[in-house]
Amino acid sequence: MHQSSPVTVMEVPAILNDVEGQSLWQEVQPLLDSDRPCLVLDCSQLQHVDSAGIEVLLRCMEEAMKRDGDVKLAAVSPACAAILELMRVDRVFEIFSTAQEAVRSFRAPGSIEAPVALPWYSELGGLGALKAAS
Amino acid sequence: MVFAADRECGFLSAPHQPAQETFLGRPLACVEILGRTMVERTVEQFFQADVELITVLAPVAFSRCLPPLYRPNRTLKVKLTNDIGSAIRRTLNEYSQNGIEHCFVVSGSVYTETDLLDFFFFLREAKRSVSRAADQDGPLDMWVVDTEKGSRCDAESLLVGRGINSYLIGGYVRRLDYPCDLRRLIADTLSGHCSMRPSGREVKPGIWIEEGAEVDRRARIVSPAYIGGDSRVQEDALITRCSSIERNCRVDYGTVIEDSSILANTSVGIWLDVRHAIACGDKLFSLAHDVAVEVSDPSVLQSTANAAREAALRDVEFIGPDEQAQAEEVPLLPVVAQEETRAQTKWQLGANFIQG
Repeated sequence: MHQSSPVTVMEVPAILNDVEGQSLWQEVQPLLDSDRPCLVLDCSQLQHVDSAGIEVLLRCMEEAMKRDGDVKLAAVSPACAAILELMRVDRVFEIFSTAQEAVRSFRAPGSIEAPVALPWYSELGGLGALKAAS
Repeated sequence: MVFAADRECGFLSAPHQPAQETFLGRPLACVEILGRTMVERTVEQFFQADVELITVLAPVAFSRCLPPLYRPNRTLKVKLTNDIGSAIRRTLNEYSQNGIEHCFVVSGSVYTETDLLDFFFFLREAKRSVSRAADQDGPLDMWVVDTEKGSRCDAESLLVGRGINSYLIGGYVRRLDYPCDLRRLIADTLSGHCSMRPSGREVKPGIWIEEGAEVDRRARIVSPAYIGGDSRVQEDALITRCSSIERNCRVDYGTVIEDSSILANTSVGIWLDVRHAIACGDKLFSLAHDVAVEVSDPSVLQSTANAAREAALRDVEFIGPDEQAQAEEVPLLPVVAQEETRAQTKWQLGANFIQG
């Protein structure tokens, strides 16, 4: 059985440009170094974003994916959502209306949280079903 | 017939929407859709119904938004004013003195397809001074007026006063209050749900392309769709789900335009998704999120408008000395309301374009 990673919620600053994006990246980078990082970026304060900021978001996702983790966005404003959609970034991230929902989604069945390791024949309906089939 | 190209007049039913004018820089009636503005289409509609005289009333501030209007052997006047109500009354008085007994008064905030003659006979039979058109959703900004009686009272009490009988329109009606209404009208037109037709030639069933438009061989246009004159659709672009690209636009490589309208003089950058939206210059109005955003990165959205492109008006008449004085203050470019609206946010997209 794998140990599940804790979910970290990080607040995105009001302005996400080159400078702010770099400081966000420096804060996020250590979190993404762990195994199966689970990160929620709370965008409730986000008001201005530029392409450098979007690049930082994509870099976070890239690093998380390398380690079999995920980055999810929460509380994205309608204006921000419109920009993410225009730039096709909304297809990359799962977006939730609140940070709590995003955290819960990591714990939900089917999320990246590792499942309990089961024997291979469990998918066939257990030992009884396997014997019946044979 | 009197056509008020804007809803500046307080008594017209739709509320004044500074947000839409901030976004589009002009009244919806003066925005080109499928090749022509609603002002042009309405004028033509009334000419086809054998209306003898048409007067277009528009606010001074929007004088440069008006399209060039042609007069096929009939009289068409364009008057600029800041008081539409008084201008309507003056025009009715002028009509009355010239022996015109009845006239239609129509606002630019509504598009209707109805039998105008039937509407006119409805007033005659009712023996009233005014009749107002209505549909199942309520009254519309369209009236038939007895000019002699109408010129005696102010426009507000005449047009929205008590005891006005309603003429129920059975045909197609589309109110033009918000940008999303433009999208609905475009979708209805392209889908054939109304009798309005796009300009240009139908090169394939449901695909209209204007002269001068260039569509790359590798671009995909899914019917129904409209491509305006002098517009360019680059390779691997996809235009789908009742989308329209107005004149002098550019849709760059790999970009998807889905259920959206790209208004005239707009350049959309490469590898973008414009979905359920209206793009106008460097502004994007997302219908899905009900928000307008301004994009400052020219590689994403850019206006291709030339400052000198605005068409010259013919026979424009300014009403009254006050309006004349104000008309001199009209800037060269279309006026955009400076007030901030809650729905509008400025997004600073820098030079580093990200290819999703």
